[in-house]
Amino acid sequence: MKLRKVFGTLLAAALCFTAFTGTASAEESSEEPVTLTFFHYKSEWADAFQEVFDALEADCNIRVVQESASSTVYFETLQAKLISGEMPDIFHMLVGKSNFDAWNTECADLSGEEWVSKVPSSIIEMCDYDGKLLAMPLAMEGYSIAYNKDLFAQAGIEELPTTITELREACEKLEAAGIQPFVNAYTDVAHVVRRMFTTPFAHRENAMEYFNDVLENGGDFTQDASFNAYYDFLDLTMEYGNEDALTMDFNTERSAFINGEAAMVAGEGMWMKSIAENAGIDINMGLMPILTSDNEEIENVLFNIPQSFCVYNGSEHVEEAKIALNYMLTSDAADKFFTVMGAYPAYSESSVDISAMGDMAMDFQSYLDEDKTFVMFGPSFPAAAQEDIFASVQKYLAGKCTREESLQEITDSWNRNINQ
Amino acid sequence: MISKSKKKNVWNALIFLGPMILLFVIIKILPLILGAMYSFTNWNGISSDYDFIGIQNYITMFQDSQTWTSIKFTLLYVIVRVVLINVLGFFLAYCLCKKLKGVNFLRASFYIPNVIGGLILGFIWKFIFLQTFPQIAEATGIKFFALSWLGTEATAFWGTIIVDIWQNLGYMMVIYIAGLMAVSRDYMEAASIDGANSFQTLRHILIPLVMPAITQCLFMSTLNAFKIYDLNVSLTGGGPYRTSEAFTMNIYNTAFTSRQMGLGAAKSILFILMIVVITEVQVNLTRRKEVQM
Repeated sequence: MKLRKVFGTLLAAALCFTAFTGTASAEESSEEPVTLTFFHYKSEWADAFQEVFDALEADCNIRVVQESASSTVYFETLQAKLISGEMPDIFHMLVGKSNFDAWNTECADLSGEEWVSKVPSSIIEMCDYDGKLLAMPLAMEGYSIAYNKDLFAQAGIEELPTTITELREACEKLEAAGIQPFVNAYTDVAHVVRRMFTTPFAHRENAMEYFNDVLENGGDFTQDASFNAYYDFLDLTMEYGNEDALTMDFNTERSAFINGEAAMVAGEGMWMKSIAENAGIDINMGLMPILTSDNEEIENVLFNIPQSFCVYNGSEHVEEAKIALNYMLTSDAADKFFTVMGAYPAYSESSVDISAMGDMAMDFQSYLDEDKTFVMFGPSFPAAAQEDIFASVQKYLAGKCTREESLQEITDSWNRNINQ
Repeated sequence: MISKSKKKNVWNALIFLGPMILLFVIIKILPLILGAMYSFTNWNGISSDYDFIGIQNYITMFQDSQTWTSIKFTLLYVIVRVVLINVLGFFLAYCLCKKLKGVNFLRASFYIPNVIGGLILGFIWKFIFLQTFPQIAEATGIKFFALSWLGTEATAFWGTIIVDIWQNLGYMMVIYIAGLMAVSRDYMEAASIDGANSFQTLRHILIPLVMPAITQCLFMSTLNAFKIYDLNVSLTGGGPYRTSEAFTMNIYNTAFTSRQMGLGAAKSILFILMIVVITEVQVNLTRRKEVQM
């Protein structure tokens, strides 16, 4: 009985306390700046973002409250927020046709913004949907094959391979030196499909034209040289890689690579630098193209994930959100953000020193300057086909079907789902 | 006089049941009706406009081979899991109702895995299968541990079964223990005086008397086997090549990853029908075997 009394008093006290604090914050809010909500899936950037937002509040009287979710559940969470009426004012976007098909009705048009002409046109093209510019690219993350420079030197590889034949020779040299050439984890749809499966679409003449055509009209991948060549590359990585590629998760794969247990990893890129730094590992990494055939010309490209952001068109503060986006890309605070996070700015007039970002960023820059990069195609693939492509590639790698059967399944799923 | 008390009854019912019924309608009935409605649309789950497309989703659903793969996986999973978990659960309960030393400790040990959440358990066991098993295999040379765990269709299936049973066995055991304890010792003594051996006692006295517990356990384990999701996601993620994708996960992937909310809703309607029919049949069958005292 006594205990209950004490408990009751405590509860009442807690209630009073919350009531008081409630009124206090309500009084303060009359002087407060406009508050925007910001939702993203790069939790490793959260602290650096916060510094940009602190500067933004001081300069423009706009406060940004951020929230992040794991990239694996990000879009589902965003969907839940939309339906429950809690849509953030600014949200992260993985640019591509399929994602814009779903989200275009929620994105404000950013066409007239100042930064538009100062962002690489290849990315602007991907952010364009029905003549509207739906997202602002903030930072670019180059990827293809990440390789360990020290291990390459140890195996006596002086020149980077430029064809699949040379890549095979390099693998043999590595093996001769007792180094595992590849580490593979083909267990994640983002990795196997969205990132890696960009390759067969991009490795050809007039790749953009081809890609837009198959997105519009469908296609037949079974007899296509680039798709077959891509399977040659997959075979090569399996031949010179770990046996448990179909059960290893990507965290294990990444830690194996940054710990020097393998010389190369495909489908990974510039984000490996911050992962290695967070793990306190000093590793000398470079970026090279995925090599699927002996046609040097079409093989010599890198891929690029532009981390981009959209403004919610139902927001009460669309204009402020646009100001905030501009600030995130072009201000001095933004430069500091790019430098600290080693993120490659998507803004050509940024004063960030790229050479300070390490060799991978430099490698990426040289391809960017020659216009030999493609924005990752995966987010443009029909949403319903992505899981099918994933399963078909895995089935092939497990030896459960032939290359023709795998490509036939992918072709069927693609053509069935393009116009949904 | 009667009508007055009846009136009072109505008021009582409204006051005590009303709020609960209202909540039930809002949280359960309404979403069910909405879900059924969406199953006739091509809604992607995001856009504010959609069209009614009749039964097209139901046709697409049955034409999709992945639907059948996941239904087959789920049904097989339900059968194997329900049989194994109940046989083992009953056996454990039977043993732990004997006068053994440390019986309480053993009961607690078997129950503890049930306290851990399925998601965490999935990740822990994934680590055990992928990292620990190969090392055990290397140290002992036992072939069982050297299998490509979770990497093939069969090992993914049995891996999930092993973890699920390990987790939920204790729960079934507790219900069976409660059932067994409730059986009066008189019947057993009477049976042994009549010269029945322990198997005969078990078969003809004990099992019929704990039939209510069996009905309950069968029902619960069937239902939970159908509803498996968290373990499936964290342990195999549906892999390899979507062969261990349970129907729940298939529904989720269709509705959210593939952004076909309409098709996903259609699949969930089929799922509800499947569960209702199968559990109803099963409860009716076992109920008939129950003895009235």
